[in-house]
Amino acid sequence: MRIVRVLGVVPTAIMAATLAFVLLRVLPGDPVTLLLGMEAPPQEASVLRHSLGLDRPLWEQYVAWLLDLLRGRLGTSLSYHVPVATLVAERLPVTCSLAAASLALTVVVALPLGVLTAARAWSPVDVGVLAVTQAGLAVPSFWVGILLLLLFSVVLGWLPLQGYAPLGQGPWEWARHLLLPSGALAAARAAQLTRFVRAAVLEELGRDYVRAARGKGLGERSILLRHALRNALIPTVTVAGLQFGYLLGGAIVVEQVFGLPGMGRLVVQGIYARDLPLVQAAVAVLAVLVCAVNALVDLCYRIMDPRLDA
Amino acid sequence: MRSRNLPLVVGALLLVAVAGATLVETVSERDAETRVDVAQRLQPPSRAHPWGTDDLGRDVLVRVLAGGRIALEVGTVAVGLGATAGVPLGLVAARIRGWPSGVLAYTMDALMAFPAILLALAMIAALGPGHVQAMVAIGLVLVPAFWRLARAQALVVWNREFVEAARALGAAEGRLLVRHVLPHVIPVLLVQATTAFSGAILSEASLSFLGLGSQPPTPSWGRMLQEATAALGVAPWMALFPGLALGVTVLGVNLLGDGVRDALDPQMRRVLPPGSIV
Repeated sequence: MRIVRVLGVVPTAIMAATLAFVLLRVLPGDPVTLLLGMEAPPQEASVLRHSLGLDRPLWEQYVAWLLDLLRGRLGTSLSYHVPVATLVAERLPVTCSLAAASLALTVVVALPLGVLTAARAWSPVDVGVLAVTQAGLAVPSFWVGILLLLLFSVVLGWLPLQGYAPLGQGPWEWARHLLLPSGALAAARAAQLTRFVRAAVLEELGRDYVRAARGKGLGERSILLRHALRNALIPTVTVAGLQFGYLLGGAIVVEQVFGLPGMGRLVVQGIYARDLPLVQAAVAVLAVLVCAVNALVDLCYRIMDPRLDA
Repeated sequence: MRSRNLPLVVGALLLVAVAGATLVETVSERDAETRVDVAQRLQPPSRAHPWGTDDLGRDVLVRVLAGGRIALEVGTVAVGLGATAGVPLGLVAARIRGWPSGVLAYTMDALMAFPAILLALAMIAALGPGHVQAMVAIGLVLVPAFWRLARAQALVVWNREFVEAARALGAAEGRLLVRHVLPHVIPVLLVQATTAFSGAILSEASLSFLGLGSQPPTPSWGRMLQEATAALGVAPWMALFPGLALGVTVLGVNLLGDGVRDALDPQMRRVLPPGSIV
């Protein structure tokens, strides 16, 4: 049953690939004109059209695109003159590192804070945290990034201003370069997750089993951590997992602040350079990745709560 | 309506302040936001330039206020586009059966699974960078959310007894939809519209920050922040004030949305006492 559920990701992933195809091939606007400009000689245009396979019927292009994607053949970048797969293999680890570090930071901050504020609901601490999270939801991640950069790199000089260090150069350098970007990316997500955990724990604390636990004389600490939190964790895992997709999206923008050579910069540079095969493949890879993560979250949710499979 | 709905009041006040300040700037001096004065470049905040000047000597305060116009325009156009396309589609989808409805539902759900910025980027790649393109891309990204909510709400309302009663009295489908179903869908959509509005402003800022939204010299807040990153060490005020304005505006819209939700459905927020500012 679970396997069947996980297989549900396949049509969604095809959908993602289709989306990348439709957006860039079917929407008005001729990619060749985009690439060469309006005044390009017709001969040159037709050569490029042929080499990109754009002179074939649309459905043929679509099938070829799906099959190539399945075999990991992502085409050749028009601006870098190397296979897109090579570029993606270089850039994807950066973006995934950033998103994973942000997710870890989000959970590490939001979980204790959410439980604390739920336990002390409407105390000054709780109201203060809620106000801060409300503000956190209102500011864009790249602005948080700029402010962090200003404080820790420009004023204090504690952390590097720009760039990325692969894990191969040692975990310390890697972490130093990722700390500020992941902090910027995590801020809004942590604000959102804190509010969610708080609401989920508060809801559990109002249930009958909590009253029963109190009735049999269980300590508040035990009720909170061993009973209410455990039940509140089930929806929390889903929400946290689904944030990963948004973190990948947010990473595109935050990479630009910190000069991280990730997928976001690849896509943005591809758009500037009108590099159609690059943008198309990079968008498809990111979209399929989001699908895969969502399916994984769904699986975790089902393992944690077997009632859903019944 | 609740007598003391603090988020509604504070959110509305913030928005009125932003819109008012923008309006004052619009009517006061023509094209002041793009006036270059190289002699005055990168000046720190002073009496003449309360929020300092940027790398071309333009007044940051004037540009931030002009940026408010862009932000409110983007929010209005994108939400308008998303709602006018998504809501009718959703209402119709609630009435159709069989595989077309299934395919539509699957497509919309799949679209909603992707991060908005990724969809908007893909659309910008197809349409080309620009202010109008960004608004259109953001508006189209909002369609599935409006569609889903309108459909879900309409599905419930279509089966209510008062709709049955009106039908029994001989009301045509179109009249049922407009006079009986739609009024019950609109309140929920209002809350959705505020969420979409703040999301649209943030998305536009992101796109402009990437250089794919409004182009120079248009003073979009995202664009201003991008220009600020180049002069971060020498002119931090260039980074501070556009972001602050963006945050205050989004906060205002978010609070307004919370307030509208509290006012319309007090039961929706049992966990948080209604009318609370946080």
